[in-house]
Amino acid sequence: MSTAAATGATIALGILGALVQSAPEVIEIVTGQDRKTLAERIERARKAFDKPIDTTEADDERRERLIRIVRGG
Amino acid sequence: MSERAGVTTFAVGLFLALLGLSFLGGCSPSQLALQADAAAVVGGTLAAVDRGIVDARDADLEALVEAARAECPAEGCDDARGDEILAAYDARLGLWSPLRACVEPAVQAFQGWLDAIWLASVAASSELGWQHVVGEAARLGLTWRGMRACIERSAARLGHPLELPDLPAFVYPFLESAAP
Repeated sequence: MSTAAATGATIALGILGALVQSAPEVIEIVTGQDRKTLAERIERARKAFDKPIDTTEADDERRERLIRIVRGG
Repeated sequence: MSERAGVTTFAVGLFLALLGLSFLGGCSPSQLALQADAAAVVGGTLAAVDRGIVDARDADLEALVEAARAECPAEGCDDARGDEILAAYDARLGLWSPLRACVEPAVQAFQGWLDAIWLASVAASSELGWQHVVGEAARLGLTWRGMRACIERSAARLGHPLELPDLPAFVYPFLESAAP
């Protein structure tokens, strides 16, 4: 598998995995099995996606690790 | 259809279907609850797309780190090769930045939609509240065209051509007329 194809498959599988993880809550929402108030429902929607994931810390850690590898130590 | 395209179409289809559902109903508590539920699922879909991009990005960058680990001895590579590896890593990191930024307009529009639902729930005039909800939902729908083009362009730069479905052409005039 080429690097590009591998990247594409990883993106696709990542999205699928995240959707599957949220499936129980989606089913609960769609079937109306919960007894939440309107305010609670709005708050749940807000929490569903309040902002994109912050990767700063993980990026810094990975680059420091790479520097240790290429420079030694 | 490839697995990649299938999953992407599924996620995008779910997003658009629920966005479309949000135009049904009115400003009664039960109808606003339907709006909020649709928004929760749309938000979950946006979060899944963001998570998928981040996971793919992590795997892609980790592969570069592991390749360096395999190449460089314990005392490190020579300075020139070390500089090359770091430059290649930074270049690859830079290619991912635009892809992540593509989601930002949708996040803002999504928050606007939620604010409108909340305001409609406390508005004195249900008609004005409803117009605001529809307008913000339309604004979120209109971000799709730009987000789609942005994701496809950024993915191509990563060497990964990606085709996402567009909304039917007749939808855009309706969204444009409804958006604030």
